[in-house]
Amino acid sequence: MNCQQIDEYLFAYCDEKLSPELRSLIDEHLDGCEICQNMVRITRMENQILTDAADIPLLSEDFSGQVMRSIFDQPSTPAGASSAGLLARLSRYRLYIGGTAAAAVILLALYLPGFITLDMNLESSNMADRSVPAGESTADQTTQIPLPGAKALENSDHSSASNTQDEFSAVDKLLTADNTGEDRQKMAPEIDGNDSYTSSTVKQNDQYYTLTLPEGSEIIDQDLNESELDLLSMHPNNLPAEYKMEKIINTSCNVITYVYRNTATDHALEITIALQEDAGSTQRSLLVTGGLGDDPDQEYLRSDAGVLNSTNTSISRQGRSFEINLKAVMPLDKLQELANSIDFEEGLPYEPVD
Amino acid sequence: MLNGFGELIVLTSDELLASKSLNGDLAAFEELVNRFKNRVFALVYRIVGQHQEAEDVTQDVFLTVYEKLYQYDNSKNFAPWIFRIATNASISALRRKKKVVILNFEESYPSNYELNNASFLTDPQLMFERKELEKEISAAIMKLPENYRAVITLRYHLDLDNQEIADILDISRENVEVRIHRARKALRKIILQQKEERGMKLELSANR
Repeated sequence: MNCQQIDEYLFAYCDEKLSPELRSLIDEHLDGCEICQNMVRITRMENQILTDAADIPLLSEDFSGQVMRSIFDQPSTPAGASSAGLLARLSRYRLYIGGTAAAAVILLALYLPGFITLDMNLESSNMADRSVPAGESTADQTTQIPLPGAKALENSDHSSASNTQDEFSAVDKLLTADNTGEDRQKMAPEIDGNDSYTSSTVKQNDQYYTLTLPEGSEIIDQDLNESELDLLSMHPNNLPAEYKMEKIINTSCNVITYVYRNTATDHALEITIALQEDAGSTQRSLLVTGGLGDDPDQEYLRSDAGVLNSTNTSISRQGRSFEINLKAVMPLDKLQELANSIDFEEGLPYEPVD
Repeated sequence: MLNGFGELIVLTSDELLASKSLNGDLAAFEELVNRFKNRVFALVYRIVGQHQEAEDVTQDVFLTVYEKLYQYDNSKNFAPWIFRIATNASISALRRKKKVVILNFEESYPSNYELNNASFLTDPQLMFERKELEKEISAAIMKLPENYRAVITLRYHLDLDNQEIADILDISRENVEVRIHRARKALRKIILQQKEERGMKLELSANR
C-alpha cells in the first residue's frame, strides 16, 4: 500500500472498522512511514476530541425541573395524548388575549384547567360579571374568569399578565399550534423495519437496501435529496434465498463488499462492487481481483474447504461503470450462473467524493 | 440515588422506565430526562448550533417523547428512538429558521471543556496541540452540512452503532460508514482551509 491508499482507510482504521487482515496490511505500512504514523496520531486525536465534545455547553441546571413542570401542566397522561396533545400543548402557553378577540377564545378556554386572563374592554366585560363579583375587577382591566369546573390552581403560567412581547408570541403560538401538532406527528415516527439488529437475512436485506422510507420520514427524505446523496447506487438483489447476509465491508467511499453465507453449505459468498475509477489502484486489487490464494483479506472465504473461484463483470449505471466481483468456494460455472442471476438494484445517483 | 420525588431509583433499564412513564409514573419519566438530557442536548446543539435555541428544542423533544410514548415499541432500544426524535426536531427547527445558523463565538457558556480537560495529557506539547485542534474542530464542525454534524455526533460523542445510526437517520446501514467517511473528510478539509486562511503550517496535508 502507498500513502494515498492509507489515507483512504485512515478513518475506518482509526475507528477500528477494518478487518484484521486489512488492518495488519496498514500496520505494515505504518511501521516504515512516519508521515502516515503522524496522520494516524492526528486522526486519533480528532476522534478523541469528537468523542469528548468538550465544546458543547452545559445544559442549564434546572432543565429537568422545567421539563417536569411542563408535564405537570398537561391534563393528559401520555396514553391519552393523541387527542389531548394539542390542548395539552396549548395549555402550556400563557394565553393573553386582547379586546375583541376574547369571545373567540371562550371555546378554547373550556378545555383549560386553570384561569385564563382576559384583557377586556369595559363594555365587553359584562360577560365576565356573571361569574365574577364586580368588585374583583382590577384597575388594569384584567379580569379573571373561573372556568366551569376549574379549580383555583396556583398555576402562574396560565394566569399571569404578560408583556407585549409575550402577547405576540402567545398569539403566534395559538395560530401555529395546529402546524406544530403536525410537526410533532412527523417528529416521532416509530422506528420500524428490522425486528432485530443482529440477525441479517435476505429479506431484511431488502429493507436495508431498498429506499423505502417509513411513514413519517418526510423530513429525512428531503434531507437525502439535499445532501449529495449517500447511496452507493448499486446493491445486489435477487440472491437465492439460502444466502443470508453476513456483513458489509465498506472500505472506502467507492468500494463496498457484501458477504453472504449459504445456510445450507455454510460457504461464504463475497460480492464486491467497485466504482470503475478506482479500478486501477492497488485498492482494487486488494478487494476485487486480488490474488486468490494469498489474499489475507478474506478469512471467511479461506475457511471454506475447496477451490476459491472468482468472476468479474462490469456494468454501467447512470453513466458510471462499476466492476462487480463474486468470490466463493464453488465451481466456476456455478458461480457464473449465480452472478447472472443477481440483479443490481439502483439507489440514488451516486457521486464519488472529490 | 434519589429523584425529585424523594423516591429511590434502583438501576432500571431505559426501556422499563419508558413503560413505567407510559403508565403515568412521573418519577420514572424524570429519571429518563435525567439520563438523556445531556446526550439529547449535545445532539441538538450540534445540529442547531445555538445555545438557547438548542435548549428550547431539547425541552420540546422531551415533551414530544412524553406525548408520543405510546408509540414507542418497548421491544426495541429506547436510546435510538429518542435520538431519532431529537434529530428530526433539530432539523425541523433549523429549516423553520430558513437560514444558516452562524455560531456566535462570543457566547460564553460554561462547557464540558473544564470538566473533561483534566484529562490524560501531561505532555505540554501534546496538550497545546490538542487544544489547538479542539478549537479548529469546534469552529469547523458548524460549517459542515447538518446531516454530517448529526452523523459525527451520533458515532463519536453518543457512541451508537451503525444499525442504530441507520435507524435514526433513515439511511441504510452501509451508508452510515460512507457518510461518516465523507463527513470526516469534509471536516478535515474545512480544518485545512481554516489553517490556510490563517497562513498556518499545513501539517495535516503533509503527505498529499
